[in-house]
Amino acid sequence: MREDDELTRRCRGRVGDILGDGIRLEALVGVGGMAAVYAATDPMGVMCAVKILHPEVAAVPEARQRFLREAAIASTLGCPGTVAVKAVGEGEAEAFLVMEFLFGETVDARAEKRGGRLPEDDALWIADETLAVLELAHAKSIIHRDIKPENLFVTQKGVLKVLDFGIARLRETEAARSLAMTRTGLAMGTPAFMSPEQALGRWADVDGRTDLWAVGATLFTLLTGQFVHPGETMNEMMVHAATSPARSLARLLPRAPVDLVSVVDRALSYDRHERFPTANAMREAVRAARVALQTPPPKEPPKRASVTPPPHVSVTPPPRAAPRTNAAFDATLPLPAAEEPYRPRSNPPLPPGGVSRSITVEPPSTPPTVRLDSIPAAALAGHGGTEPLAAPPPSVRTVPLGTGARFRGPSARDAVVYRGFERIDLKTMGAAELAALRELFVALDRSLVAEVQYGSGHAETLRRFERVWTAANAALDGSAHGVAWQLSPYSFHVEGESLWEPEAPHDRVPYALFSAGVREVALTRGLLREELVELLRLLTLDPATDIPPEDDLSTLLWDACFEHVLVHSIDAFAEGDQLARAAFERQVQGVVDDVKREDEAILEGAHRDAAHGGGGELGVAPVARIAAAIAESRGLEADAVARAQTVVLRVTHGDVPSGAARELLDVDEATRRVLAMRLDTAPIEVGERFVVAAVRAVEAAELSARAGPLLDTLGGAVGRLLAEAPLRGLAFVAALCRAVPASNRDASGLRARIASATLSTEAMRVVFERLGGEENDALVGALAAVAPWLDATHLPGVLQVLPSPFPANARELLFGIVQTNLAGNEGAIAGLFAKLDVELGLALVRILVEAATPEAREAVLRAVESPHPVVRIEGLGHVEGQSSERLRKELRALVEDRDPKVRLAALGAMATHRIKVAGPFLAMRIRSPGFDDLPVDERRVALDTVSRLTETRAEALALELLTEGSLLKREAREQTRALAAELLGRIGTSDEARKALETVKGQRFLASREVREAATRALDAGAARGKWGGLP
Amino acid sequence: MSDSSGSDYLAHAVSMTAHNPVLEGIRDGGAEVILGVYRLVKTSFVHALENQAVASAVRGLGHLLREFASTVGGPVVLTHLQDTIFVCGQLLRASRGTYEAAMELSGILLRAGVSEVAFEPTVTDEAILALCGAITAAVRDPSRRSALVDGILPGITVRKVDPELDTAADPRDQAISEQVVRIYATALVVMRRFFDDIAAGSSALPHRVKRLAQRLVTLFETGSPTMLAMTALASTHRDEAGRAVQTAILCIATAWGVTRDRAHLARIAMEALLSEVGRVRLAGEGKRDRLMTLGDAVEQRVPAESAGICLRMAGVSYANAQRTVAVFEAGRLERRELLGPVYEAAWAPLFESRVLELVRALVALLVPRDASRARSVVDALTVLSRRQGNDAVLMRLLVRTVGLIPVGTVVELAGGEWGVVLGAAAGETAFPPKVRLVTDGAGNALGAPKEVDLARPGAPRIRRIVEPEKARFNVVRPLLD
Repeated sequence: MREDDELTRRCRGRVGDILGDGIRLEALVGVGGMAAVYAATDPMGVMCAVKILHPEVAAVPEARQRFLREAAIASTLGCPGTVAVKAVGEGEAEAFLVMEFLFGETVDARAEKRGGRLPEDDALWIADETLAVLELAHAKSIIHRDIKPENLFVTQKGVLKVLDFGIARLRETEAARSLAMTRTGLAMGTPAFMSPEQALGRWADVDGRTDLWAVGATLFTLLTGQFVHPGETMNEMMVHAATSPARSLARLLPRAPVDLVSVVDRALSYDRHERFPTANAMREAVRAARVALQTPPPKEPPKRASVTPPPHVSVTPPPRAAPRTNAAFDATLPLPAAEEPYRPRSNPPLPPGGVSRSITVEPPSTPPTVRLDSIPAAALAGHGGTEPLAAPPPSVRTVPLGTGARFRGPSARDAVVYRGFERIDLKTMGAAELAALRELFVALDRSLVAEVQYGSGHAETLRRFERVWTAANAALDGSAHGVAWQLSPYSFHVEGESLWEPEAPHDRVPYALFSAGVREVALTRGLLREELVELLRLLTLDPATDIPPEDDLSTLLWDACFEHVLVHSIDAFAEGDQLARAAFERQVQGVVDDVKREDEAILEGAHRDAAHGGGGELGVAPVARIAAAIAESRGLEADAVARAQTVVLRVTHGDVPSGAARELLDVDEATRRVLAMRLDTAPIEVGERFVVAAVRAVEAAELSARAGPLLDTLGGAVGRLLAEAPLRGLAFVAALCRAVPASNRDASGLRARIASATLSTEAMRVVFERLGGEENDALVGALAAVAPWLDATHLPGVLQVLPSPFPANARELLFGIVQTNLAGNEGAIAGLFAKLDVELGLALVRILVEAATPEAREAVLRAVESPHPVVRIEGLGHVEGQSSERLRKELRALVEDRDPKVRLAALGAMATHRIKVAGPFLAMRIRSPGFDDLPVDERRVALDTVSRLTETRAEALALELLTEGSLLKREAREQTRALAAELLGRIGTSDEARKALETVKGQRFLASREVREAATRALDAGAARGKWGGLP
Repeated sequence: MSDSSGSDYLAHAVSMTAHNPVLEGIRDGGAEVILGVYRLVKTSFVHALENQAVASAVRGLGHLLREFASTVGGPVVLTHLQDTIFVCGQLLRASRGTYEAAMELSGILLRAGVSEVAFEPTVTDEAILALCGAITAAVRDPSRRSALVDGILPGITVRKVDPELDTAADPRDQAISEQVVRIYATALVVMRRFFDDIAAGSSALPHRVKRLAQRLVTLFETGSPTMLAMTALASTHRDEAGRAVQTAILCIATAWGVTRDRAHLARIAMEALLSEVGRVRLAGEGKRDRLMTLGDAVEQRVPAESAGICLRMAGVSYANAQRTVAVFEAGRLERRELLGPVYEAAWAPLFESRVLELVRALVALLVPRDASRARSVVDALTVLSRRQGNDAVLMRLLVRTVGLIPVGTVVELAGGEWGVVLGAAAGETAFPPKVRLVTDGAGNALGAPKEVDLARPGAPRIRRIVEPEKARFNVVRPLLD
């Protein structure tokens, strides 16, 4: 028996006990880790609740004292939000509290009834009330330690009660810890609502903020229906609670109002110093969030005088919804009904007087809603529509771009001025510029925090980005040319004066830049909004996961071709320790010295040699020859070529101006443009060529037995593609396979190897599981393209999904893969019998039979595992033949099955497949006493089946049934006789049968009317068939 | 030939990333090591070496160093260079506090004449204690400054400050020609090391290579003719690295004739740098400095081998696919006589592949792989311009770039003066060119080279072009002034 079952049993055993004060335990209400709660009656018959500490806990004096003392204190809080303790009791081995009995439900139960979630108002009310109680408790230094929906109770009168004060503290005693060792789950509490310091067992750190974390977790769970930390087991949740920061509420509820998100997120801060300092502070924030939820929309949008939308921006009316929300929605479009914020019919009332005076409720800030068609995709990632954003200043140009945007680049600059990095003299930056830069970094820091917390497409993130944009413009407006800053591995600074030292995880921003060689960054006037977006995107890339191997942040910044973001990087080519760097530098310097060496003496010697006829004279003929070749390539006639040659020679000699020669080399503007466009090769064009190159590479690598790593690389890429874009992944593999040239002697083998390496079992399993979805037909088509090269490694995936109710084309495709890979996998495939439907089961029997190998024959026998009789019979019939004893037994079992459907199916299968071995026992069954009790249809089918298996025996059997009449007629028996008569009418040929029918026809007392009529019809039918020799 | 319809699989980026857990381990754990050393050194300044506080710090650091060394798989090296701290070659990632501690530690070590300390995985607590003793002695007593540098500490190596490394010159303070020479030299060294790794079987693509390509483009964007002057060094640096760098410079210059898009130019440069990785791999280790002539059987495998290496380097992404295709196509075009037309002529090669092939053909003439003599640029251009199957437009672009009388060509003027042809600014055609005179008519070297624009009226005419073999002197030097 499990420990908790044992505990419950033990607690239940106490029902009926009378405690020392005459209190009778009437029923067990609940069992917790530390105590059990009973419904009880006092000597006056008044209902009360009794909480009794478990004996093993009560045996520890420290635990016992805490229980009694703190519970008593809780009862003296003097607020209706706690449970009144009427009495305390102590025995030798027990301690208990007598409390008021509550009618109502726990918040947990309340949420459960509504599908696990509560409306925002409800949840906030609960938090508000809980915090009111905690405020009083914390003031008396009482920490609850176990706030969770189960410990919050809403009475029938609508009063929220906080239960279990003092209980949680007991968990920190030695007794509790030893209990925890033996009874996990009881003594440990609920990790889902456990603050990090509790999860880490740092009891010294537990204070009022621990309770506030739990209130935040309670809100989180009530609003989302999920725990703060995901986890399958308590241990997993505990590990998360101890080590991971909480998820933002906005992650799960992107449309939740910002105020609400902010309350919950702050309460759930991992670092307790970042939480609300007091319950009162949190309560005020909760109330502000409640107010924001209920604020009506303003009639006129506040206008921003400084913002003038540019002509291409169309201004739409302000959003109708007043509360500041995280939702990124277009105010002009109605929200889907499901997304409408839920409002309970009767909101829990706000306290008298509404909001406390200390709460400042900001009027909703509603900038002009603009349709920014050209908002950068990076900024709108995840957006479902347009977003109310401040319109950019008129000076700002917008350019379309997405991730990896590129700008005009420095090549447009004055070539003389531009030297890789246009320097802004940092020493000339004044205090005002520095202050503006600091503002920029403050905004940047908040923006990055929002991105981590809410995600890049979130309204709050975008709002904070707006602040960065505003701050950047303010900084630039106050500068002569622009603003610049330097980098250290941990900070952004100007001449040693720190501007920003981000904390984890954004401490990697300066680090990654610095380690990539970036030493200075500058923004210049005219900065584009898109440039800033792209700059921020690049800054937040994680080099470990987001950057391809050939790149670092420095190369990516270069690629972006910013026009108004200047980046100065040092040439960080050397790596390693001092020796390695020194060796690198020496080599470089060696080349530099070689390139710059002075050869004065050699030069003079060479000149003298040449002057003395030492040769080395080419004349200028080569120039003419080149000119001639160029002229010819331009399609000039021979005389024109000769002319060009002459011109060039004369130009060389300075006889004529150079223009004529230059003309020869000219490439017209149109041609240049066409060629430039060819540098923007479409991905499809590159893709088709890449496939060929990749296959040739694999072929070449196979020659030197080095194909493995190459195939692994392809496999890795395809794996990622299959997971994210399966159609593309499959198309890629199909193209690879098709690109194997027929001239390759092992073409089919190579295709199989490519498919095997690229279509991993796991990745394909995911693809198979997508069958039947929206993309089914496209996926089937793509799968069909690679199906010829799928091998046995993919079978498990196929076998796993094959029994699913897929559309016919998907089933056909999957079954085809099974069929192709049958050999050698018969055992695994036969395991499918237990899961397949009739159609696929029979098809499987068929392909196994057709395979005709011993393994396939063995596999067919496993058809008996099929839930479908037809499949079982089909399999057995094929393998063991009609006379198989096993088949006979199987058939008997089926025909005698308790389920009429199975019996009918079995009979149908016997008839369809003419399984003659079934005849004898079927006849026996028909003769058996119970046959008459079967449904009429089944009796009819049984007789028909016998007749199809063996007509002779069927006629004898029918005769036998027909003639067994009696004076004491049973209706069921007579039905059987009628059925026998019908059968004889269809199959009877003997005189005996005709005579028997004649006889029955005339038996007024021994045959029912139904039988007689059946006999008459049978005689007619027989006559019609001409089976009775034309006799009347 | 594959059916390409709808094959837009490159539209979905699935490129590999440079995730390296060991490096990340170094970055993440480096701060702890630095702090451990710092605390110990500081403690040893406060207490005697026999003090328990020191002993405890030694034990803790010893344990930490051995553990870190096993993670790193080698010695733990702490380096201070140019006001930057490296742990095992990786920049220290830490907070300001840790950095300040690290810089203070570096200051102490520098006072003892040391800028790098390496701890072997087998380092003992005794050796660490001895290191502390040597540091405190060297710092406290000027007469014992060499105590640390000269001392023998088992499992610990200390290195002196390398003054060359400790002066970080800001490239912005250098003349463009100086920057060009330096980046050319750097490119050679980087590519040599890269090719060594490729020959040894590596398929890693260090981001130094892309950085190089970008840097070459950046210098081109300055409009300085010095970049093209580097092509005069083709016959000086004849190894694969030299060819790759020359090819990259010439490819940028040629493509400059049609585009100023720096991303396109950098891409082409990178393709040029990687174009012969397959040859390097197939030639094998230690062949870098030799003229490599491979048999036809091996030669015909080069394009596919190059493509395979490119593929392995950066996986399946649009950028890498473009690179792989260009390298493959250029390799095939170059060997069309051996391998036949690319894609059996079903598709035309990409534009950049054709540029790459043409430039490589020129480089092959400038620096033949076999023992035949190196040609002058003008001679090579003459041969190349007569080649069958040239793309006329590309050829014109190339000649425009290099010049009808190419940069670096030594010419003798009518008065007997020798001069070196200067390149034109990128994208311009200078014909007749400017010449930098290096001798007077009598053959005496000019103290200060003099520039003559031959296009100006009345300028002296060119009497003849001097073969590079006969010129013998460093023709690049005059171009740098």
